[in-house]
Amino acid sequence: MIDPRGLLEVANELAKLDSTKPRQAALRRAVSTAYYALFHALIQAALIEHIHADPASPVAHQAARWFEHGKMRKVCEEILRWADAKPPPPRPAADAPAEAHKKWEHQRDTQPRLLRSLGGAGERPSPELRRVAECFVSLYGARMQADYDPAFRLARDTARAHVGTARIGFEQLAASAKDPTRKLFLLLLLTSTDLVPGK
Amino acid sequence: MAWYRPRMAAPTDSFVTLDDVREALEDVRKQFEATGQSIRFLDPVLGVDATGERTLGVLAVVKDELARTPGAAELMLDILDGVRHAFDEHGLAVWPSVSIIGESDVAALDEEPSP
Repeated sequence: MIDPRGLLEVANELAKLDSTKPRQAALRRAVSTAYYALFHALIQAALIEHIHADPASPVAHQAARWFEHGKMRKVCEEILRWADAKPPPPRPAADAPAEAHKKWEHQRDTQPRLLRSLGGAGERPSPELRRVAECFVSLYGARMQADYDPAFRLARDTARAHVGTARIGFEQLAASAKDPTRKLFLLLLLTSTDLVPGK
Repeated sequence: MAWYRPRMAAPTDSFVTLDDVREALEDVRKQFEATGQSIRFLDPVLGVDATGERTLGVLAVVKDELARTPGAAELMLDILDGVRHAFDEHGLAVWPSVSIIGESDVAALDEEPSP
């Protein structure tokens, strides 16, 4: 079993290495490890809630491989769009000018797909869940740079801030336990939003 | 900045230009400075990642004492939020990656040769 909290601790230690002149390699690994800590924390939460699997079981080990980084990021982006979207405007009266109907249709069609699909007046992600999504998106970008961009250079403060982001993600994931949209979020992390109608 | 270059050329079909980015960042800077915090942004970098998604790398420079607190992560997320909303207001869609750095570390990084 991959221990997300263990990864977070290692990320923190890597970011603190070499007190006078930190090595770029250590800072890069700190950022990458911080991302993986939150990545695995989300996967474990999804497995527990939807497969009811002990994270240490062989079933969980296999199912954990079904999650994809890019799709998880897109789900988090959709969650942010959903959380931040303005409430849909009321539909114009039947005898309203055609332009008002067109404008309303445009607004409807450009709403976030989760908002459209789940009903405009329904639940929204809680601030805690929104923060989890935000942490993941932030760390995803940082990890791409840390792992793949040879020109990317990190300061220790930056690396520590990214580790801090992962820690916030852990805390907010725990704090979102009562959010009614949390189960959907965790389900979508596996299925992706591709199955949700709309663009 | 020599230490932070685009890893790929900016996409030619992008509907987000560097001018758009600078304008959005200026909005964020004004909002932050209105709260009494000092912030500046280094050269933003537009690019595409390995999956073809547009990317935006933003480096925010703040005072050392702010960058070195545990609250730096919260600040980074707030900046990310601010940048994203600024883009929304301009009708632009891009997903930024924000890093935060203290003033004194900017100079330190510049002194080091790129790997």
